[in-house]
Amino acid sequence: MKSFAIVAAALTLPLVLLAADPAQPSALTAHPAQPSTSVLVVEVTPEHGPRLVIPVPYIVVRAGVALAPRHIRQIPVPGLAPHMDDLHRALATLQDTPDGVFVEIEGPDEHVVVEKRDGALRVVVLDGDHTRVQAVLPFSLLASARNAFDGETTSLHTGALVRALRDAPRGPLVHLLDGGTEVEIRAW
Amino acid sequence: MRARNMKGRNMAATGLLAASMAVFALPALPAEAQEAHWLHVRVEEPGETRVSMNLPLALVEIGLDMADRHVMQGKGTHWGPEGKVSVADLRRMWTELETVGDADFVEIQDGDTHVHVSRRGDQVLMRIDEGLKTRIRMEMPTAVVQTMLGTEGEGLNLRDAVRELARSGSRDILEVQDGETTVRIWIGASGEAR
Repeated sequence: MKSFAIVAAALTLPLVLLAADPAQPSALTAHPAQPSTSVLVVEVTPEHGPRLVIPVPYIVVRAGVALAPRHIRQIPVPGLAPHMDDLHRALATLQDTPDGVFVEIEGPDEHVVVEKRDGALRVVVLDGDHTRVQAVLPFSLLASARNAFDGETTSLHTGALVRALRDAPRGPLVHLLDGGTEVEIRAW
Repeated sequence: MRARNMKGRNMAATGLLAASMAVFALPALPAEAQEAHWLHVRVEEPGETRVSMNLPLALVEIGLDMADRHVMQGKGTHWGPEGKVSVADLRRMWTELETVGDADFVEIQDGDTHVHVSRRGDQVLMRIDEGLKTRIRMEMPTAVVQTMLGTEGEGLNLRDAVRELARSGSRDILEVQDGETTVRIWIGASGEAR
């Protein structure tokens, strides 16, 4: 039993160390009032066949990113650098703006809505009866994701993006319906 | 009885004071309440597409700022059939027109097409009619045109023009009717379309 505990600790410790970020407060101390995301639930409902519900612990996602090759950990986006200040300003403006529908496009078979509601930017795209995309981008997530861009290397740090996920409020983030297949990703 | 009369007089005095304060406060209210914060766009093609946009003017300012720095890159804007009319030319023309006061600047009648650009008070008005099918109406405060043209440089000062437009209060800016398609652009104080 003792040797099992040592093996378990030996296996878990690197993951915890990889997940720990000295620049950020730990998940235990940060945002005490708002529970941080601990699991991402991926739910796939195919047109035929069984429904799959895959809970992915947040720590595994972080560890996976930390172990990924450099070109995945740092994605170069030099074109983003000149726009960062404007993006920050736009985000701050949107945060201060009252809830409402910003854009709505209705066609014979299409419907697109971009709105701000309950502290999140929500995008809904319906194309006929068989395609539906719903994305919820909480402002807390977007604000945290701002730190993912490194101005010196003009690259996007995937690890920081994943760290931002920790601040996402619990609930659905993405919902896709393509044909008969439905995919939903929830933060939990 | 006397106490009741005193109480009545006090209430009347308080009411009068409140009414006076309300009357004095009223002129200050519209200026604060009328400032526009939202740009609204509606495009409707019956049976086809309906587009509705409600954007905070502060966001529009940021967008124009980005376009100015990254798309225009300080290059001058030119108009006219061969792109020979510069912002400086427009500014000179505007300076001359400003002193004229109310006037009809342009009047063109060509077959079914009628173009009319004029100034009435503090508004620049544009009307274009092509037969019975196409109808365009645009209204712009002169202060916005003045700000947009600025005092120097070869670019349009769009960001400050948007601020000036917001200060001018809720108003219709553009209405286009082309066949069954209608476009309407206006600014308002609220994010909800009226």
